[in-house]
Amino acid sequence: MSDLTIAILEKAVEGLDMRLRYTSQNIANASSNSYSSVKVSFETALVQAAQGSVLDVQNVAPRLESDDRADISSELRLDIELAEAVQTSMRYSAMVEVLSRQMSLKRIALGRNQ
Amino acid sequence: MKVFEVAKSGMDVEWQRLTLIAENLANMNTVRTPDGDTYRAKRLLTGPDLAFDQVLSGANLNSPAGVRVYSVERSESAPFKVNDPNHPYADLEGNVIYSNVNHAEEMALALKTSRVYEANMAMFSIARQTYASALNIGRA
Repeated sequence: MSDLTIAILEKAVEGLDMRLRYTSQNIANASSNSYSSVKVSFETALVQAAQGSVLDVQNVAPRLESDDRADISSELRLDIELAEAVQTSMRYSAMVEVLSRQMSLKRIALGRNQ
Repeated sequence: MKVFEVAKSGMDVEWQRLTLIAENLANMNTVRTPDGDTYRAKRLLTGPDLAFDQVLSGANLNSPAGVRVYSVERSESAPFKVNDPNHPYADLEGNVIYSNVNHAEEMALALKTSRVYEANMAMFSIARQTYASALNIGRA
């Protein structure tokens, strides 16, 4: 396991956490007038940075975009936002799981696996 | 994660269809729209995001698929004509032309739409459960 793996995992967790925060902000603003839903994107940038060094990965900044989903009534959709939240939290769990397994590998290497 | 995206697109589209059905039912008694026309039932045209030959060629296996809205079209069925000479909008023969919204048709469509929405929601839950159990791989 390299430092790069840890850096990528940390970045992904950071991005997913940010996405979860903005999703809850979107839901909180469900009744606000002329509020447009905010999306967080970091995957493409992270994939590119992962080809480079640890520093490249650490410099990835999640981007905020306004949602361009085509909706005939342009209303904020609670179900879509909730689905997004579930999806994000599933991925978050997966990332945390991988991180924790990396950590237990390290613990084994240190001989403290009792 | 693609299952989530596809199920989400289904929920998205069916909700928009439901919105249009609600609008049709709300306008069932409409005689004239603000621009003077008769109201026609609106229908949502939807279909797959990718054409079949694109999918079957295997070149687009990883691109986001699912369903999407093509356009909103009006129903071409005949409007209802009611003889009511005292109505402000009655024509010279005393006929009033109401919208072509058919109550039974809209209700049937609404029910079908809500079933499809539920199916997409079920798909989303199944994907979530599968994903959650995949997280337990390798655990004692």
